[in-house]
Amino acid sequence: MNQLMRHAIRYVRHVTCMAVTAFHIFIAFGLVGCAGTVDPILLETSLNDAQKAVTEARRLGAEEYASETFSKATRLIEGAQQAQRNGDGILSIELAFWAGMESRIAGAQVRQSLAQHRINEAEAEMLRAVIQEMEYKTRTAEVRQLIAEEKTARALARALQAEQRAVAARAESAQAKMDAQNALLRSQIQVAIDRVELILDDVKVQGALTYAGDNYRAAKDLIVQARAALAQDNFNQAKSLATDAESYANKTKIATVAGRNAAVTESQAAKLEAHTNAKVAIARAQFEIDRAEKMNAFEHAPELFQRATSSFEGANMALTREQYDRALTLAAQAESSASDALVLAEPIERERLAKEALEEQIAQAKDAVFRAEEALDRDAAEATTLVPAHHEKATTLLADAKQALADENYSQAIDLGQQSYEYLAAAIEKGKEIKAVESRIFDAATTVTDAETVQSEKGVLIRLSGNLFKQGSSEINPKFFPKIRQLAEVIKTFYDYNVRIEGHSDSSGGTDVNLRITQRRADAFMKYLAETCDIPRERMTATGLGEDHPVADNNLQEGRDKNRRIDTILLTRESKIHD
Amino acid sequence: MRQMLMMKVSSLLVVLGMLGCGATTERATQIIYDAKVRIGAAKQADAQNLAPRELAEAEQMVVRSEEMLSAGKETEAYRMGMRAQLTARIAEALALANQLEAKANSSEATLESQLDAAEAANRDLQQAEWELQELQSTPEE
Repeated sequence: MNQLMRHAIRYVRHVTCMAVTAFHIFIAFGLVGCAGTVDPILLETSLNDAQKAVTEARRLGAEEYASETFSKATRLIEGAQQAQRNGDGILSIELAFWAGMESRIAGAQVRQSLAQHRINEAEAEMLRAVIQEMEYKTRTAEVRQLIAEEKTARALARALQAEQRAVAARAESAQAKMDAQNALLRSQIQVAIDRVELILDDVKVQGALTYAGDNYRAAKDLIVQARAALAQDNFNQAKSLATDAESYANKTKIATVAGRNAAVTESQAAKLEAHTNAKVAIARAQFEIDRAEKMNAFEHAPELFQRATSSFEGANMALTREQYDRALTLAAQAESSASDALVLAEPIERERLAKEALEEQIAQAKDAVFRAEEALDRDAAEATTLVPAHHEKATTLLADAKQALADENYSQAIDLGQQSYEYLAAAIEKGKEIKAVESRIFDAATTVTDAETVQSEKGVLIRLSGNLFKQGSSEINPKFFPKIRQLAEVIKTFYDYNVRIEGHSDSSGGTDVNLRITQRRADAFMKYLAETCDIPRERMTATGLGEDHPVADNNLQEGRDKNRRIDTILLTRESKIHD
Repeated sequence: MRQMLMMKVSSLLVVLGMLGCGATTERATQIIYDAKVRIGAAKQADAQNLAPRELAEAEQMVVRSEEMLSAGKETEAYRMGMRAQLTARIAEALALANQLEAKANSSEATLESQLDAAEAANRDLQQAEWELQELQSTPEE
């Protein structure tokens, strides 16, 4: 029915198409009705081209896949040929052109149909492929499920086996635990039985059958029963019997000990008292003998001391033999003899000790004096000049020590001799220190240009000489400023020592005048050091000494130049500022 | 009856001839309109991209046809409009053909991958069946 309908529709469309084509042809006739002639070659070419286009469309399958359009094209070319036969060239060309174009459309429609056919086939194939894939996947899922079920079943079987093994293992474990508990219980009961037997053995030796025979036999009987119960693994009964046996054994032990104690107490008490009395007497004798021994009684009262020690030894021996009365008597004799020996020996020993102490004191005093004398002879040569005060004090103390020794005042002699030695030791140490410092000052003074460095009794003297001042004036010659600043650096370096500045002149002019001018010059020098070179003024003293201390011949010009000078002395042999 | 039919045909021919010489302006206008409609349909089919040369030719022909009509050349305008309409139909047919061919290519490619997927599923099935067989042939521990 549907096929019939489709044929009918196709037929109507075909007829309509033919009518439209005819309409176009008629219109074309109408259009070209007034047209003129055309080149026959051009006409022939157009018709051939159109014919080729139609042939190509047919080759592509237009008759089957684009039948309407192809039909139109064929009718148009037929129209074109008819027009040619009728002699209407222009119409023929136009129709041929249209036929060619319709053929091209038919060709494109063939491509459309073929493409649609491919799409339909691909979609149908796709549907089949999708179904196939789903079927494969479904089947795969089913198989996988079968695998999982199989594996699960096997796992369950294995788990069941494992559980069965675990149950068996638990049962074994429980049995083993029970066996262990029984063994432990058996062991504990056995130990209890053994302990009771030991007690019974012990108390039997001590006379248990005499003092607690019933209890002893009851305990023994219970032990036998307990062993029998244990042999039958009747642990509770065995334990109970062992406990009862232990109770009876303890009662037996208590009764036995009580019985024995009651028997021995009386005689032991008397013996103990005698033993104690003898021990006390021996201890007293020992004390007295020790005192006598400390006082050398074996030397000062040998017979008595010998008697005391002999009696003491006899007392100890008697005590060992439990002859307490004899021990008591001998100990009393020893104490008495030791006391008598002490009375004789003590005054003699004390006199001897006093004599020894005096001799020791004399020896110490002599030794102290000797050490001090030796130190003075050996080490004090430098100290005499470097630290004369210390040296003098040490000498005085030594003389006093000697006098005390002569007067037999030995303790004073020891003290004085010791003090003398200590003073001298300190003086020697101080002298070494002074020597070291003076050596360093000598080295440092080499930095002061044209200065002369001399060791003086008071310390290290640094001398600047020449025309240090203008003639008759206390004004410093500026040429000397650099040298004075160099000197100031040395003074600053040795900041622990005071400084003495001495002004000197030559013999020209009057003595009083020279004295005054040297004082002013020393003051001016000190002022320059304090104000320009920042030397603390309290470290310095300035003195003018006039012409009385020349260092060269005043009769010569060169000597006079040297005598006009400033001596700066670092007082290393006096106390340090910070001591 | 036959005479009557002949009369009708001859009348139609006369009318058509009159139309051919007397009402060409309206026919030309109509065919230009038809050509424009066809151009629109071609564009709907994406002829700009799939048949651009044919579409451009059709549009140029419409322009020329309108110019001819304005110049009073109704017959030439009609013929050019007719050509424009046919060229637009070619553009539309080519565009549709290209579209369908592209779609066919795509469908065939999709089909290929689907066939591959089905093949893979088949291999999975075979693997699973082999595993099951192996498992069933292995005795339990």
